Amino acid sequence: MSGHSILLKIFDDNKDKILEAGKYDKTEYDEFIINLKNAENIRINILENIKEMNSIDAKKLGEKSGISEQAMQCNIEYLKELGSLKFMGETSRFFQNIIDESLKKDTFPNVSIIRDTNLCCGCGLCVSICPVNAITYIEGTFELNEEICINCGLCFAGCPRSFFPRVIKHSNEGINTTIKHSESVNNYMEIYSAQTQDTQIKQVAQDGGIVTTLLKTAFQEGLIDATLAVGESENPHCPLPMFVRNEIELLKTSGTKYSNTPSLKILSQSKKFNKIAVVGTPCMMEALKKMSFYPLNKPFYENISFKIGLFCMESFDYNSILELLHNEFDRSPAHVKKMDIDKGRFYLYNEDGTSVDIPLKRIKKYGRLGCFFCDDLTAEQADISIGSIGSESGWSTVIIRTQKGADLFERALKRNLIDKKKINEEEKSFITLSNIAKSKQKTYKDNRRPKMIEQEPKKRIKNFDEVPFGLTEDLAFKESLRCLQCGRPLCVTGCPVNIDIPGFIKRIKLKKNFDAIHHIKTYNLLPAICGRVCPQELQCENSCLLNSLGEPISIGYLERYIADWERKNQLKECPDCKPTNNKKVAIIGSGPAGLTCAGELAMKGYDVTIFEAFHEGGGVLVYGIPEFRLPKEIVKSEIETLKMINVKIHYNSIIGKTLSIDDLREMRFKAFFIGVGAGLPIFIQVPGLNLNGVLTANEFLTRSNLMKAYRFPEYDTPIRVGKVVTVVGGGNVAMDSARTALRLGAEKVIMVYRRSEAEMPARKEEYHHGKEEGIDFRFLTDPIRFIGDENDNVKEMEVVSMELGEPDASGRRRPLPIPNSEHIIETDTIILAIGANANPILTRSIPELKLNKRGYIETDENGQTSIEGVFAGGDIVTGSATVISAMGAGKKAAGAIDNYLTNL
Amino acid sequence: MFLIKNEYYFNVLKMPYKILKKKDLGSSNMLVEMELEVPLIAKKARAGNFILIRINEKGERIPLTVADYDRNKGTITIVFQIVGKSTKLLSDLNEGNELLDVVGPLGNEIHVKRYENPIIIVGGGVGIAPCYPQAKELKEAGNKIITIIGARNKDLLFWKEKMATVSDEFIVCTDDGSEGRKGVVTDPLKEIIKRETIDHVIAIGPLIMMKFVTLTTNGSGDLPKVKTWVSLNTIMIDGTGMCGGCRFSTLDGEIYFACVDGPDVDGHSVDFDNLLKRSGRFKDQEEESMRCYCQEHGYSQKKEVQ
Ligand SMILES: Cc1cc2nc3c(=O)[nH]c(=O)nc-3n(C[C@H](O)[C@H](O)[C@H](O)COP(=O)(O)OP(=O)(O)OC[C@H]3O[C@@H](n4cnc5c(N)ncnc54)[C@H](O)[C@@H]3O)c2cc1C
Ligand SMILES: Cc1cc2nc3c(=O)[nH]c(=O)nc-3n(C[C@H](O)[C@H](O)[C@H](O)COP(=O)(O)OP(=O)(O)OC[C@H]3O[C@@H](n4cnc5c(N)ncnc54)[C@H](O)[C@@H]3O)c2cc1C
Ligand code: SF4
Ligand code: SF4
Ligand code: SF4
Ligand code: FES
Repeated sequence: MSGHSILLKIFDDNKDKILEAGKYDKTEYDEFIINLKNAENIRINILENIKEMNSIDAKKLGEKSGISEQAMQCNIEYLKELGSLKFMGETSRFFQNIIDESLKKDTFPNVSIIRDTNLCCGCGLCVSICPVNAITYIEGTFELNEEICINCGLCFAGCPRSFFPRVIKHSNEGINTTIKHSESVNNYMEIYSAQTQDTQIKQVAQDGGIVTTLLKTAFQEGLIDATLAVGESENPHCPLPMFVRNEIELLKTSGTKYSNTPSLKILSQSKKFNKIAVVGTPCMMEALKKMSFYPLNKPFYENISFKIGLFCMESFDYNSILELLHNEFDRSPAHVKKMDIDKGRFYLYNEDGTSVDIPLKRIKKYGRLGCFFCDDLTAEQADISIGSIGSESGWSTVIIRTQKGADLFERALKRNLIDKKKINEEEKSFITLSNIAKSKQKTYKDNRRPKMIEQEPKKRIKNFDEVPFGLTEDLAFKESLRCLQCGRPLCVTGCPVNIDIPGFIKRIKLKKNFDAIHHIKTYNLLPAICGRVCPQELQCENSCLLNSLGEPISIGYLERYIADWERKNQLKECPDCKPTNNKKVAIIGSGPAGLTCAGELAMKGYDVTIFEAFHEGGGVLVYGIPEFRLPKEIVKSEIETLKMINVKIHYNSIIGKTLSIDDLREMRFKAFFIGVGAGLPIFIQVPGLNLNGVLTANEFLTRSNLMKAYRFPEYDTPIRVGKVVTVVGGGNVAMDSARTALRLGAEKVIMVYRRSEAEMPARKEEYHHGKEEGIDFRFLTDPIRFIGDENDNVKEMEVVSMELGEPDASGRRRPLPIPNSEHIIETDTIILAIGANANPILTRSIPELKLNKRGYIETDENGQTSIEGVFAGGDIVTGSATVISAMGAGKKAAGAIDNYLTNL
Repeated sequence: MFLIKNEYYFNVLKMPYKILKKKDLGSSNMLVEMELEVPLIAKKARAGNFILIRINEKGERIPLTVADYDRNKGTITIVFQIVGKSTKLLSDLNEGNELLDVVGPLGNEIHVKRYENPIIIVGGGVGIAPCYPQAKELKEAGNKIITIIGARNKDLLFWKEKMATVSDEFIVCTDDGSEGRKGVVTDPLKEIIKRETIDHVIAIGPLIMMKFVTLTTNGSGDLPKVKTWVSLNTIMIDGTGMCGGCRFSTLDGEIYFACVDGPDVDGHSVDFDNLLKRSGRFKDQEEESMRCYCQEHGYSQKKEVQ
């Protein structure tokens, strides 16, 4: 909870600064702090309850604190998005990293991240929210002055794009039984097609003139004393938000400006008025609605009487409008009387009443990126929503959503200002509106990842060929278009080696595949491998901005595509190397850590030699990860690339046995990189371990992969799989063993894992593949005994069911056995895949090398060990991790070795 | 000097693994001795070490104990019995042929020092060969060596003279009495440990022989207990502690890896019964492999090969 008392402190500390900024006077400030304090106390209470109950059940929590379930859900969402529920495993959808960083400094995130990730819809609310006026809106975007900013995070919390709880989306104001719900237009009371009867308005209005007419009514009836609407600045068609105080001025605002307007930036000035109406796009309505649920800026929204929403497919920056007019029509805005969208076409009206039009599709590309994240066509959060879709020319479609809206419309009717026709759900106009609304929801939802074509499960469990075939050129290109090319790409922050992801995707988009592969390789020498084995769903793709929609860019597929493209075209892209400097570096172990370190150093001009214990290079890539997941050809070809840049490899060379480090010193190696991995299998301590048919995943996979036992008897190494194979574990190693067993002919493969599906550390895609292939997953199950027959062949495994208890130090919930739940699984082969330890062969041979308690090598963050000139990285430092983290360590160490040898 | 050494290493690293000499041992046609040119391994090899070899691209990794080494010539000697496809394949190679991979030396070397009392070395069958470097190193360290070697019959005996040169007392037994004493190696073993105080026993041979040696020396009955080392030839893949395939269990259930904790281990702690059962794990496949090989190469499959 630390974070939240901090908030009040920030406000205390900055009281003078806030008062000086002038948005709040003293009384307002006090009122504001009281509100905030109350809200904070409620949240502190909720957090305590969550801890106590160890669950996040809105209903129960609500009962406990005496808050409605809806309000509770808003609070929960708030806590989650501001990182306070991380201890329960609930994190912010995509800002967790930034929030963590802020919290470290006792501050809160601000909206610059919303802007930098193209999420901003330009509503302007943050400008109003900021209590110290740190945000200014200019030319389609805003600037945040970090020096003024007090890091209170209010702008972030209030922004409709940081998060927008679903409960708010579907909430309706007031209890009204006449409210209907439609999937396409959300809650409403009535829908009409309407036209103004006011001749003056008719002349200037966009469509039916209803917005202006309703506002006029509100003025005449004394329901408002001002309205926040949009006029035109001195630049033609450039919108200018303004408060209008009477009917006469109102006419100036009539008509649509398609470039977006940060109207809400002046909302903070609304204090001057008693009751106002706000006219705006759906996103602005969302902003207002969200604000009413969170007490962030009481003084500004309490006087909003009417929210009038406009239908909106997308908006444009003013500059994009200029570009659009220029590129598509060769016009300057001064010569355009009016723009309009009708029946799938975009129209320009000239002064003389003639018009030109183009299909809507052509203008899409000028739209704001922020609009991409919007699934609201009909301004679902307004009191009344108005647009042209669904009505004939000169008429507007009016969706009355709240009682307030209904009253206002009623009054306009009474004054005979409006002519109306009711629209029922069966009618064609409704269907049109509904379809278009759905299509907006769909572009948003349908913004799907491509699927790779895969070998059919039934077929593939009979062979060792790779499962997915990779993206086709078309699909890859299409996928590249989907990338938003974020200004501050979040994906990159999720990648352990910080590949410039938008950079390489952009090159695919431009169909410059060759540049793309070159670009990746400056960051990552083994893209064909990473594209296949990285847990993208936890790394780059997890961080991708689009992940908030559930469909991040398929970064892994694209990486794989581009690397495969290179191999297919035999364009071995040899990285640029500096001329040789004849300084010798020895690399011990040819896993991903060693290979990367070798490659990086070779590029820097060093004379690099790899020593590998096995008869093949690649480490886990060849002996652990099976052919159907990572074809060995690929590993070979990546090693060939290294040879091309003069890296030498000696196989069958166990350092610590065949050669010692001192021998290597005699061979005049000046620096050493140790990347020997974590090869030692761990055994679970249960009776019956030494029965026949119980083996480690390492043995099973090494036999199958490295020794190609799956091609026995063509290859000499045998492997034995029984009828029913049971694999113990839930990681990649377990998954690989299970799927290998299937392919070797097991009739049934069971996987027992002591935690639940959610905790399973295996790559998601492989888990999915395993499920398709028919592996029988037994979650929350732990073996306690292996039982053999009279010949010591295993025949059964006794297991116990588990439940998840309190979170442990790692934050994962600890599995605990359920008493009396023991049961038997019949099985004739048991494969143990529960983890690995450090391999001691090398480390034992260098007694002065400092190890930690568990036998892993201690290094600083650059891989420097306790011995000068000796560096280490990968699993032998971190314990079993991932290919890409091993590569990251190899790359870092290469930098450190370069430094060391340069300064020697 | 420095330069020469530096180049030496790089040169030998590039060398192929060549068979310099090959000869049949005994007269069974089942035992083969080979001298391999592997200077780096020869330089480091010690009694107790083993190597892993792979004959060709499709071959298994087979562990073989170092039976002798010559650091000057850069060679090691291996002795193997033809028991399955891989050893058959190996026996079909000739002087001048190359092996695809040889890696080592692996496993722990024996402890060599001057012990107060004599040491008994018991070698059975093909296990006679790895006894040689142990006897040699221990003898050179000034120990009194009593060697007992045994085999089913005289055709399977080899290295008698060689073993005799490194032994102070030398006893030969055969099951059928075709040479030396008739009977098993534990008979003379019993007599000797009854006769004099022994520092320790080293037993290398078939599992069943090692089991009975340990039963003889474990202090049960009227014989004194004598520390006994046995050398475990379990199934191996990597030989570096990575796969766990070579694991064995002690009588109190602890798990060890023969490749990194052995191959020479305290014989009284080993669960031989479990080991005997484990050793047959791949029997079916091994037979299948042999059958295919024999068919392909026109051999008639010799059943007695076990
Ligand atoms: C950016 C944008 C995109 C739109 N896209 C669609 C669409 O795809 N389909 C559809 O049916 N309708 C769309 N509309 C709504 C449509 O163009 C009309 O505004 C609506 O039908 C009301 O017509 P009217 O004649 O009743 O309004 P009028 O009486 O002409 O009043 C127009 C009102 O809109 C306000 N306004 C004008 N420009 C902006 C702006 N940039 N931001 C905020 N408020 C503004 C004015 O202040 C005024 O109050 C869009 C509107 C905007 C602003
Ligand atoms: C079955 C399996 C599946 C996996 N799946 C994935 C996955 O899908 N995605 C993912 O990101 N990660 C996966 N991992 C983890 C990943 O493979 C490892 O984290 C990574 O390979 C570690 O790289 P490394 O370079 O540190 O070591 P390793 O890959 O273990 O390489 C070490 C190398 O050093 C050699 N060596 C050891 N000792 C010596 C010595 N003394 N002298 C010379 N050479 C020596 C070894 O023979 C080996 O070749 C998986 C691991 C396994 C076992
Ligand atoms: S969406 Fe609105 S509140 Fe959020 S950053 Fe953009 S302008 Fe500010
Ligand atoms: S499309 Fe969405 S983000 Fe864009 S202006 Fe419309 S409501 Fe706002
Ligand atoms: S991959 Fe995702 S986060 Fe990265 S630039 Fe593209 S859209 Fe943005
Ligand atoms: S041979 Fe693999 S662990 Fe011993």
